[in-house]
Amino acid sequence: MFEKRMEKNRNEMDESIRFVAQHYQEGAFNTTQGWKRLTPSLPGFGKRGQLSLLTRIAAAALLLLIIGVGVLKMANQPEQLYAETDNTPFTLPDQTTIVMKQGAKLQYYKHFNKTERRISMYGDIAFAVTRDEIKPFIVSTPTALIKVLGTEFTVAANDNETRLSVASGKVLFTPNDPAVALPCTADMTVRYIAETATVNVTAPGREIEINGKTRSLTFDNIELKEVVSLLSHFYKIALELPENEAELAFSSSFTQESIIEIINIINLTLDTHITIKEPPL
Amino acid sequence: MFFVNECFRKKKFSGYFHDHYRQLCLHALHFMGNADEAEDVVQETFVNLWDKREQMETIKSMKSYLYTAVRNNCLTRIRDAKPTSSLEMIPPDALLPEEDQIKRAEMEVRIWKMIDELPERRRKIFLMAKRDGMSYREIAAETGLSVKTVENHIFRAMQSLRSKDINAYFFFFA
Repeated sequence: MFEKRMEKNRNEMDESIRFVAQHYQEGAFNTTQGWKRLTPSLPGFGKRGQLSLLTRIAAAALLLLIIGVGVLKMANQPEQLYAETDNTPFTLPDQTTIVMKQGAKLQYYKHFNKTERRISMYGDIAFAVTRDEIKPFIVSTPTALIKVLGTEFTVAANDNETRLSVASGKVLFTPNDPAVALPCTADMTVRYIAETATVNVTAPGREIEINGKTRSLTFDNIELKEVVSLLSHFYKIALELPENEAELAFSSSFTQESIIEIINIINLTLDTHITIKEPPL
Repeated sequence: MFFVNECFRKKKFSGYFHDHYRQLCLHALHFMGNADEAEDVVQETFVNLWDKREQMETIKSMKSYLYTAVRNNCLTRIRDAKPTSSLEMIPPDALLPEEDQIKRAEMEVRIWKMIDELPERRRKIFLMAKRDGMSYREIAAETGLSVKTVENHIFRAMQSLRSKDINAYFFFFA
């Protein structure tokens, strides 16, 4: 009885998925666009009332105060940058250069450059980081942490998502959940969605997907050393991979398998010799 | 006082719009079968609501009102387009209980959002199969991927759409 009902529900849900897919258009049924389309025709919404006058005065005052990048300097407060216009350039105290898209925000503290170079950001910002092996450059977004020594990359971040594109050098990307450190090099892009706890790492001809909620991992043409490094982080376990097997390419998907099962599958598939150095916690 | 009331109404109206717009568009889509027309009907419904804004406080369940208004506006449009319309021309969806129509629209919004959030390549492949009706072999030829990889992308897309919604779905429909 229960199984029949489950099957019926699944069929109905698949029907809904089919229905949505058949009519799906990117950007359609967008609430913000719909609101913009609706309000000009509504009496009272398009008019410039007292509120919009206040808004205009505030905007004019802001424009006078901030030209290009607005830098607010207040006692004991972090330095804050806000890009009023697209492609706003700025040079940080360590000579790292950034280019901010309109609306992007960045802040750094007064002790920036002492032991590490840490900034937090929101919006779209391109970075060309000055190399300093002693003081890593750390970018914090609402959903991820990005650590570099010296490289060029772009970050786009909002409350639910962080996107990273690496132009050169090496970047360590760590989403909030699952907190796995993902080394990324030139031409790689990372997209992390916090709501679904999904990380996608793509490079030409290769892809990794990690889902922290369903505990699933997908590897598409990934070198075994990267697979093993990711598994070590994901399962918090030390693994050993013979050096001569490090560059073998691996493709497969795992959902909720134990680390022992995964290693067995890899070893059987590729005839490799990955071993667990310490038992799982 | 008039100014205060008008500000208050604007705020409420904006809340109704932002809470229900996407769901209502999907609700209308079942009747109209076309995204542009569905959106037109929903826009028209909100214009009508604003015209009657002074009575807005008297509406007990705004959600129920909006779904019914959208449904009626859709049926009016269908009938106007074909004046000789008989009962057979009314979409079967119109006969579902209102509560089921609301729940279905809410679930479909979540599915729509999940498709938005699929990784770009996976979304493209998924839509090629499910929207454009292409076979796995055709998709493989178009994208340069193997049939197995295409199959894997579609399987995983379906899996994430189902896993995201399954709990909510059982809660509503079980």
